[in-house]
Order: sequence, then structure tokens, then C-alpha cells
Amino acid sequence: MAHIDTGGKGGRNKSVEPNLVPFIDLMSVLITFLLISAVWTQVSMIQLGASFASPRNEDQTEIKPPPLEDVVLRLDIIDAGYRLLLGKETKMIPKTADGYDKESLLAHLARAKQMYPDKANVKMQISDQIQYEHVVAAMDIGLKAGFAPELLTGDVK
Amino acid sequence: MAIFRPGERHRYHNILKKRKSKRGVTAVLSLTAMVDMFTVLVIFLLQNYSATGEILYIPKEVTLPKANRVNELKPSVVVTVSTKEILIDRTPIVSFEQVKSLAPDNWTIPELRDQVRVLLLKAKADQEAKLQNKIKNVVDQTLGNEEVDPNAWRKVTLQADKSIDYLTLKKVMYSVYEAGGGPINFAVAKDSEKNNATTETQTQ
Repeated sequence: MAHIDTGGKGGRNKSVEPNLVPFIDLMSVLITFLLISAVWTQVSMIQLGASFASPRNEDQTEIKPPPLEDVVLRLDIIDAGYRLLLGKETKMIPKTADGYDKESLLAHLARAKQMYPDKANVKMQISDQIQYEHVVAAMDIGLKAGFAPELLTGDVK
Repeated sequence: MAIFRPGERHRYHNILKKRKSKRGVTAVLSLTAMVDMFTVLVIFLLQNYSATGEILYIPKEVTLPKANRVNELKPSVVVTVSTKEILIDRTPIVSFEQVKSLAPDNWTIPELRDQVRVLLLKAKADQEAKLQNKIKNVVDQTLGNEEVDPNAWRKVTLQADKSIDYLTLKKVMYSVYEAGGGPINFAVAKDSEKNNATTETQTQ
């Protein structure tokens, strides 16, 4: 039991016990409140960059192109895997036994970021039959490497 | 085992032995373990506590994909795409089969576009009413709060099942843009197993 031993001059020890009842009351109320208001699935969001049909702001008369817009950085997501187009270079990242090779894609995108640190976005062209899960995974990898994902329209040839 | 005569008994045996002395015996309950457990529970629950209060309604048939680099949810019009139907803020709008049956080059879903347009206009009116509250604006400025984004009403959150194909999503997104919405944010489940550092990535 929680107690403070004060020693004592006499043969017997005096022990002072702090009153734990208010503390336990507080804890019970707090636990009840927190359990009621608990959210077990934490939903967040991925922000999409300028997309294929993004509406323009009416007040914005001057459209500034993002930096290094002339440098091609495009990721194709197709059934066979990822295809990364960086400048004139095309790199195919085929699927592995576990599905899409996310580690390799992250490594390639990180390399692209090192080459062009000012480049802010990666364009993504996705086949129509690709599942949403893979789209989000690719966007997540893009964000990890420091690129904002932009979705392109049209099917991949 | 020994058989004892019924009567007053104490768990500390040495005190029990002194039972016959004139001093009274006090039975005490050890609360330390319970207090420890409560503390751990409170810390765990406080960590899980969502301070933003922005909670999405997720239908049973929707499983959100997971992602690491995520931002906090902001209030907006929520379009849910499940394998059964497409909903806006819990109201079913059009069935999944109907969307699937649209031609691959026809991306506009008229019902969805019209409904999103109505909701966006409502959101715009709400936001304008808030902006007219000048006292609140002055207080916000004094407190150094961020200015409200004048285009915040346009934001749409898309919440889709992870098995939905990209063509259907394209149709939904196109209809939302047709209605004047955008930017679109994708709702995802926060993946806490891996590194869950939240980024302040500014998208343009």
C-alpha cells in the first residue's frame, strides 16, 4: 500500500498514507470519457497536386508554371509494374512476387529528387483497371520522395 | 490445510498473531496496482485521442487503403465510392453498376455532378456567411490565427474502397470537377505500423 514512512523517534514507525480515492475517481471519469470518445481507425488524407481537370481560381490571371516543368518526370502504373520516365530515360520496374516493387520505385524517385531538387511534382498515368490501393501506394511513395503527385488522364499505352 | 475458527482475520500474518492484543486491526486494500493500470490506460487513450474531431462515416463495405505521408482531415464534401454505390455524405446517389455501365469515354455521372454542385453552393454560402462575421475575423487576426482560405468550400474528400478500379475513380473525379469542386483529397487510413511521420508537403 502506498505510504510514506516518516520514521519516528519512538520504537514504532509512523506511516502516512496519501488519500488515493480522489485520484481514482478522476482516473475513472477520464477513462470513461476517453473510451467513449476514442476513434479506433485514424482516417487522414492524401493531398492531390494539380490534376487533370483542376479548376482554376477566377482571380488568378497569371498562371505560373511550376519549377522545372520542362523536365519530364512521369510514372506509369500498368499491370506489369511501374514505368518511370525521367528526362529521356525510361526505367521499367517490374512486379515482384509480392506485387509492385515499392522499394525500387522509392529508390528511383529519391535519385530523381537528388538530380532535380527543385522539381516538385510527379505526373502519374494509370491504367484504367489498376486498383485504387495501388494508386494510393504510388502517391504515398511519391510524397515520401518529396514529389507531389499529379494524376493524368487517359489510359496508358 | 489447517481449519480455522470463523472470525476476524487479517492477511498480514504477523498482525493476525497480535489479534489478541488490545490494539484494533485495520484491513487495507492495496490500490497501487490499480492506480498503475489506470495511469497506463489513460496514457494510451490520450495518445489515441483525436483532437480535430473530424470523423468520416465509413460504410461497412469500404476498406480504405493505407498510407504514411498523410495530412489532417479538413471539413469538406465527402464522396464515398463503395463496391455497391456512390454516396455523398451518407446519401446514396447512384449505384456502382450504373457507373460501370457508362461508356469508357463518357466520364460524367450527371446525378453525382448535380448533387455535388448543390452541396458546394451550400458550402460556399456557409463560408461567405462566416466571412461576414467581422467581429470573429478581427478576433482571429488579433490572436494570429490563419486566414480562412477563400476557396476552402471547393474542397472534396474522396473516400473509396481499395479494390475500386481507376476508371470508375476517374469518372467520379471528373464529375466532381465538372460540378466546380476541387482540389480532391483522398481519404486513407493512417499506417501506424511503419514510420508515420506526417509531412508538411505543400502541394501546388
